[in-house]
Amino acid sequence: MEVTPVNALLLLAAGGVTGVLGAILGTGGGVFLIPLLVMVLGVPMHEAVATSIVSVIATSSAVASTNVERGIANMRLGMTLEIATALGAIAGGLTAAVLAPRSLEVLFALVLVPTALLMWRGRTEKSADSAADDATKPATSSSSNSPSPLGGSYFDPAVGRVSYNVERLPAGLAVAFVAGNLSGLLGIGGGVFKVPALHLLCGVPVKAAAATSNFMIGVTAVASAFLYYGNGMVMPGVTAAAVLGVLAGSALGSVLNRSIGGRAVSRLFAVLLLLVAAQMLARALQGK
Amino acid sequence: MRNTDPHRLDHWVHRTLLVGLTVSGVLLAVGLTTMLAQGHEHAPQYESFPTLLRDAARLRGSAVTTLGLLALMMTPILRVVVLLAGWAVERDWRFAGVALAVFVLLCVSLTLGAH
Repeated sequence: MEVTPVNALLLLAAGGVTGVLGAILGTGGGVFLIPLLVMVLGVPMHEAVATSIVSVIATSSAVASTNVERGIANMRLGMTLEIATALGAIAGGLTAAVLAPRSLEVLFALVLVPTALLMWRGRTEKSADSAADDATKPATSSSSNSPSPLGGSYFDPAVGRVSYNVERLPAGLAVAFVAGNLSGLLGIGGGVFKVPALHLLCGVPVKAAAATSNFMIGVTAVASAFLYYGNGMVMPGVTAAAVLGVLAGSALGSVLNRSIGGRAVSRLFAVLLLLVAAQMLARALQGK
Repeated sequence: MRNTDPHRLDHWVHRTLLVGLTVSGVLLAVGLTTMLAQGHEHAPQYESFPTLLRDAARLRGSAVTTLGLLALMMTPILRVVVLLAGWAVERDWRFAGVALAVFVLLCVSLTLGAH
C-alpha cells in the first residue's frame, strides 16, 4: 500500500476509531483495525496483521498509562497473568506452523457466542459487572473480606470506591495462556478473551477487567511485533499513520470511559464479541 | 515490604509509558510527515541499527519512522523492567519474581523471534 496524504488520513481515522473503542472496551483494537485495513483500505492480510499488532501496543500503552495512574488497572494481577500469556505466545509461535488458523477461528467463534450472552447478562453474584451494582455498597462493606494479594480497589466517580477479590485464578491463567497463543496467530491483543475471563470467571468488575486487560496487552503483542518486524512485514508509513490515529483515539476513549457505566461497557463488549465471532466465521468459511 | 507511598510505583509506570509514547509519537509524526514530503512511499527494511541511526540523523523519513516504531515496541518491555525494579525496591519479592519471570519469558520470545 502506498502512503499518500489521502491514505495517511484514512489510516489516521481508522486508527482513531480503533483507539476509542480499544480504550473503552479494554481490547487492543486489532479486531476492529484488521477488517478496516483489509476490507476498506486494501492492505494485504499479513501486513494488516503486522500493522495491527504494533497498533495494539500503542492502544495498550496509552490506555494503561491513564488507568495505572487512576488505580483502575490491577498491575499485580496483570503481571501474574502475563506469565501465562507469554508462555502461550511462545507456544503459539512454536506451534503456528502445524496448526490450522482457520479451524482455530471457527472454534473460537463458537466459544465467543455464549461468552457474548454471558457478558450481556453480566455477573449476577456480587454484581461486579456494573460499578453501580458493585460499589453502591460502601467500601467498608468489602473490607470485611480482606482483599487477597491479587485483589484491588479503585475509585469510580459515578459510584465511589470499588473493592474486589480475585476468584478462580487458575481459570484466568488458562484463558490468558490461550489469549497469548492467539495473539501472534491472529494479530490481536487477546482482550476479547481476557476481559470476559477476568470479569465472568475471576469476579473482577468489568471496568477493572478492561483496564487490566489493556495493561497486559502491550506485553502480549510485543513478542509477535518484533517477529513481524524481523520478517519485514511492518510497513513503517502505514503503521505510523495507524499508530498516530490510535494514540489520539485512545486519549479520547480514556476521557469518554469516565462517563460510561460498567453495564454499558459490558453490553458494548457483548456486541463486539458477536461481531468478532461473525467476522471469524466469515473469514474461515471464505478461506481467507 | 517497605512502608512506602503505595502509589509511587503507579506513578513510575505511568511516567515510563508516557515517556515511551511521547518519544515514539514525536518520532512517528516527524517521520511520517517527512516521508510524505520526501515521497518515500516504499520504505526500506533496515537490518542494521547503526544504518538506521545514521539515516535518522539525516532526517530520512522512513528511518525516523522506523525508529519511532522501535521506541513504541520497547515501551512495554521497559514497563516490565520498571515494575521489576520497583517491587524489588519495595522488597515485594513475590511480585518481583513474577515480573522477572515475565521479563525472562519476553527475552526467550524475542530470541526465538530473532531466529
